[in-house]
Amino acid sequence: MHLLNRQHGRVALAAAAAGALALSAAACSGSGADDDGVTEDGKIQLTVSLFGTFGYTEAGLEAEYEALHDDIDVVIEGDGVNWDAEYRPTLETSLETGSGAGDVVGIEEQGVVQLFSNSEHWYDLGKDYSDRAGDYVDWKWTLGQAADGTQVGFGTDVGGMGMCYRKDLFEAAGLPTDREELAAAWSTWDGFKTLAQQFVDADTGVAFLDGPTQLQNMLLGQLAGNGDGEMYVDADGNLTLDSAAAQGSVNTILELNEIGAIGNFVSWSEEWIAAQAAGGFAVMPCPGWMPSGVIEPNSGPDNAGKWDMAAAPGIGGNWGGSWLAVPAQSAHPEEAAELAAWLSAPEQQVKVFEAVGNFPSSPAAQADPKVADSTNAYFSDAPTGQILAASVQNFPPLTYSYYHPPVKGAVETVLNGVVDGTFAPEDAFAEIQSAAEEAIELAGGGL
Amino acid sequence: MTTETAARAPKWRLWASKADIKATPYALVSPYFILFAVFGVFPMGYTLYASLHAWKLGGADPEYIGLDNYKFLLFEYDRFNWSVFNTLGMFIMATVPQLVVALMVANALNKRLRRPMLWRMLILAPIVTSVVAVGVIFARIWGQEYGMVNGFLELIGIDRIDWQAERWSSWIAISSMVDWRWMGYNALIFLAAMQTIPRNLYEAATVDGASPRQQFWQITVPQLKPVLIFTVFVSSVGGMTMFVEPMMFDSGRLLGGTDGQYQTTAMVLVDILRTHGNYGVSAAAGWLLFLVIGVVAAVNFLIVNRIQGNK
Repeated sequence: MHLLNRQHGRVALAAAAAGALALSAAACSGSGADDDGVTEDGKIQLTVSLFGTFGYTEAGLEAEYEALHDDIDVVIEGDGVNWDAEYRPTLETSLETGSGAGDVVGIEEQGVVQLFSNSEHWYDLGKDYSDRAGDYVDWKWTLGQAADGTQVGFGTDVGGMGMCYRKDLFEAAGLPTDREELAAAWSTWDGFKTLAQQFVDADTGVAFLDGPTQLQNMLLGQLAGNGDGEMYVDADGNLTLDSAAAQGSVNTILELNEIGAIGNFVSWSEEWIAAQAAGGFAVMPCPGWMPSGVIEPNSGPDNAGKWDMAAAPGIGGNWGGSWLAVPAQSAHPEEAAELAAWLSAPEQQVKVFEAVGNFPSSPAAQADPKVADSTNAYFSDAPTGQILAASVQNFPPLTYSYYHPPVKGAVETVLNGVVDGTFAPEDAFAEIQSAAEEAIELAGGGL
Repeated sequence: MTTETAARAPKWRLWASKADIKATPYALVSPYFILFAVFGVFPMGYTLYASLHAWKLGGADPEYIGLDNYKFLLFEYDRFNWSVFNTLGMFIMATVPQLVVALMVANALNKRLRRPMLWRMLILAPIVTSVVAVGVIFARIWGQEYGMVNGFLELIGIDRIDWQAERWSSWIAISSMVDWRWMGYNALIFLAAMQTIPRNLYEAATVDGASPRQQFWQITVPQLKPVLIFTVFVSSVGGMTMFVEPMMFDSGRLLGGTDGQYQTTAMVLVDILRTHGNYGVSAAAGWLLFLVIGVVAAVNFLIVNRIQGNK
């Protein structure tokens, strides 16, 4: 579901390490349907191939759909699989070779431009479902289109963001602990830096932020969305590392690192996970699916009530939303399209939110009291629904270039290297430049 | 008529039996060669073909570019050369102590012990644990803030070390993982070989007044030479294709630390394929790795082959 959701499950990691076997084995073992996608008892089998946490299993949607359609057998697979390391390469290969993809597949925001570009790979959803445009804000609907304008994807969730923080650690450092007060204090990024300085000065022995990655990505999106929309690479594949968003986000990280406000916890590392339970850092930007999906399981019941969530600095953010699409190679594209439309409908988005916290992309679902008035008990009853809805309300859509993911990886790695002392801060931009050039050369032109 | 038929039949039989003698052995051994051709020769040939082309997943049709992919890896992409250095370094750091300790352990197990089976099972246990689980546990053991090793260091007054940040420290951590897993396997192979050494050699040596230490170096080690060559060869291939341990040490990432401190060549190969979708360069990296393994195996063979004993 989300790029961030790298190692949502240890099982997923095991799968990643074992190579593509996990997905292909799951695909082969299915449940006994033959090549034309019909099971032995004559039902049409539809395979929904996903990554990360879409929440369909948790929300019981598989059984619900089968109860509504007694000629359909839904098989959901790939829950917990890593998007970037595992899922995307396998899906790309399947699309290229014309076989092996699911009947319905999930696509992460960072991959839509790349994967949707060729409309020949996808079943045209616009034919029967063009009226579903009304379920979405414009950008979520149009990002689900191929380069030639064919509608190929239905949006599922959006990654509304807030700040997850530890009240006990803030209190120990003499910072405000009330979420309203904090949101006001760090409504601007200068305000955020002031609080960071104050936390560091208190010298409580723990880090203020977890690490550079999450804050930098949040800032990158905000600056790009507010400005010319440019991040690392433009539409023609040229590096734009001098863009306001790239410069501003990296410089802010360097400044915060200078004052010692950034911890050395690489996102998704074992230490990062351990730090959430041990209180190793005080605050971290978090997408809507993170509080219940990541922090709560990592921190454990002992830390219930210590965490809280406040609105993020600046204009909020959107990190990691997804789409569902039907590959043209599906044996039953019409039935698959019907299933995809149902799974991504506002009512189901609400159910998924209730089950796993993925924030709905449909305004109607966002307005549903089950979403809008939702609170998170583990996070001191923070009104997460409200905070997340506000963060995506006015957030401008971002367009990711084909080359965004490799360059993003290069930038994040260099910044982690600055924090762990491998690179001097003054060399950061030079390192980013050379790593990004290599990434572009490998991923694109030339070789 | 009858005489003619009678003369013919044996001739036909003779031919059939000749064919049987000549062809049947080939037919019987052919499954291996067919499998080897399909899963060995063909992929290697195809990889060679891919390595000579600009070949991107989802890109234009492959275009012949000669040795450009190799040139890129060797002269432009620093990570590749560093990865060969890292791989060799970690191989030596992991394999030498591993084989020495395995030899010692096997020698100890070869003595008369209570419950020999139990000891042998225990020593083999690490090999049946999942390498991913081992990686997760070891990444925790060697963690900076919450790791066990740093906890001990702090107890004796040494500052916490960020094991992932430096080349030497990350290599130590990863070598510990490799050794923990594979030491027992090698020890068991050595043990099996030791048990085939004739007892009378030792008895004769004892009569001549040789100490146990002398017996070990003058009899056991030379007698183990073929097995030593085998384990060194297998360890070379395993060490040079090291992948999961360093990947898990970096929580599943393929870059081996913030600056490739512990990125092995196999990780570079997979990173180029997975992250960048570049078949051509990845295939070239595979062939270069193959050549490196060949050189390393040859060097190891020459070294081990020098082991001599007074026979």
